[in-house]
Amino acid sequence: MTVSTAGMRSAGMRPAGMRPAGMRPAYMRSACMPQHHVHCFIPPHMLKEIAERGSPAQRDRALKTLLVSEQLRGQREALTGLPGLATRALAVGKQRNVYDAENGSTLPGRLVRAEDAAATGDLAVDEAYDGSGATYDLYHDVYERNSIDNAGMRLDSSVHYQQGYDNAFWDGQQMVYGDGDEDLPETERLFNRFTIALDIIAHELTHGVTQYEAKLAYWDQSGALNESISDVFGSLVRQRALGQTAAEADWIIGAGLFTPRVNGVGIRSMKAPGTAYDDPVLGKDPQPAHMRDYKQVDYDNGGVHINSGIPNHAFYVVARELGGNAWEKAGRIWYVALRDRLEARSDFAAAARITHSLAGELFGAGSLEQQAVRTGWTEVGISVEGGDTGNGKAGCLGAPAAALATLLWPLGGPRGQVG
Amino acid sequence: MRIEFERFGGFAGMRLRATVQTETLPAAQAQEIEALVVAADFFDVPPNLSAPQPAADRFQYEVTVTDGERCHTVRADETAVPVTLQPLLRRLTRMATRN
Repeated sequence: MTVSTAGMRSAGMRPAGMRPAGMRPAYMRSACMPQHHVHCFIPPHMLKEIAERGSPAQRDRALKTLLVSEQLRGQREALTGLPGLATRALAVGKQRNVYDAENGSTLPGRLVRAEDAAATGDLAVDEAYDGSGATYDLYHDVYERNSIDNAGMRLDSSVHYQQGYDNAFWDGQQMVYGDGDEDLPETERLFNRFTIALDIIAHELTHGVTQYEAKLAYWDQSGALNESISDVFGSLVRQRALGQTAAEADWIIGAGLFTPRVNGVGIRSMKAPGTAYDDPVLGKDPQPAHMRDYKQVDYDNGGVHINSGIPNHAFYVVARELGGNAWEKAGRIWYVALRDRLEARSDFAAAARITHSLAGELFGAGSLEQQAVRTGWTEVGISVEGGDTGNGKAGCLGAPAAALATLLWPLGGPRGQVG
Repeated sequence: MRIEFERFGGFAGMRLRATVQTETLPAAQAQEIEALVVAADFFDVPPNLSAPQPAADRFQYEVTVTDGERCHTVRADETAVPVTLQPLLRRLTRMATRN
């Protein structure tokens, strides 16, 4: 796709007082909106210098940055001849490095386990290693994808990030995991280490896949779709590792992350959004399972971790309808949508239309698979025949707004997300 | 000094909040927090510290400090938080309750 088309498609006419649908919402403040993403702070020519002359670590870092740079997408041949690139491109199979951030903020930290090295005995290190391997395997064995970038990118993970860091994230180049509440007395801890759940690891890696493919913008409906895609493949990696069918799986995201002091089974439930936890300290799982309960909020980039419950549940219903292993059919439809059809500002309606159409193409018009996709979206209140609403906002494509979008994002839009 | 603190986002997407009235705290604790506000040069921190793009599963912070006549609010993406502000955010995070 050309990103400028995506920008134009989602920029709609709007009622007075509303921003153009494609613009970064006010709650993210517009001061820095038109800037280039963080990887551009070091210009490509400088990165090439570093890639040629730097220390091995610097070269690796510079190469990675060059490879993920949007401006160089599709121009990888321009990088041939740079040291290290050939081995990267020719890398066969899984390549994983796990680093120890040693409770600091410097990434990646000290290399503690490389590919084929033995287990270290450090739970977080070994879980990050095994989990990124299981994620690589699903994408490779089932969807024939060679790593995050489909070009054999090494999977780097850093564990023991900061102290008391209740989080995990993909920073655009690697995965990063905190240890939860390890700095608190045991009786006060609510979160375990974030590598404890395989689906969290696969969730973060999938943010990387999304970064290279659909580039879903990280706010409003496209942001909730971005989150949902990460939950979908997060859950599928875990289901496949456990050998569970759709009926056998618990469809919980983050099972095991809470300590026994929390009244909850995990962070989110794809089977029953809104029921994962209900706790005196943590409150109640806020996820909706239907469009009528969509939450318009001015935090969390417009509730991307809240409204993801809607497409999450749609996927669950599709998998439930089809039975068997969810990664085989439902997962394939979602994967091809992510790879080939979804765009930076696709909304829920676009995802419904695209997956329904793809199910027809992959399995036949009117097939059980296509019917299941319709059922899935219908159960959450979304029509598979609906038109785009421009990232969840009412409106139709108007020339002035499209021109504005082109002005704001001459290269075709802000990065979908940097993970 | 009154401090209102909120943290949003993260993988779990949970809100954290704290309201701190330093006059009600033990003197040592009040001094510690007021010192962190001073060390952060809080009233001169730009009100909007946005990352160039919102990053998946990272935190966002909103902090308002009222001290006598002065009142200042800072909204910050985790990746854009200045090093000098980090200790205050870390301290407030540990004083916060979820939900």
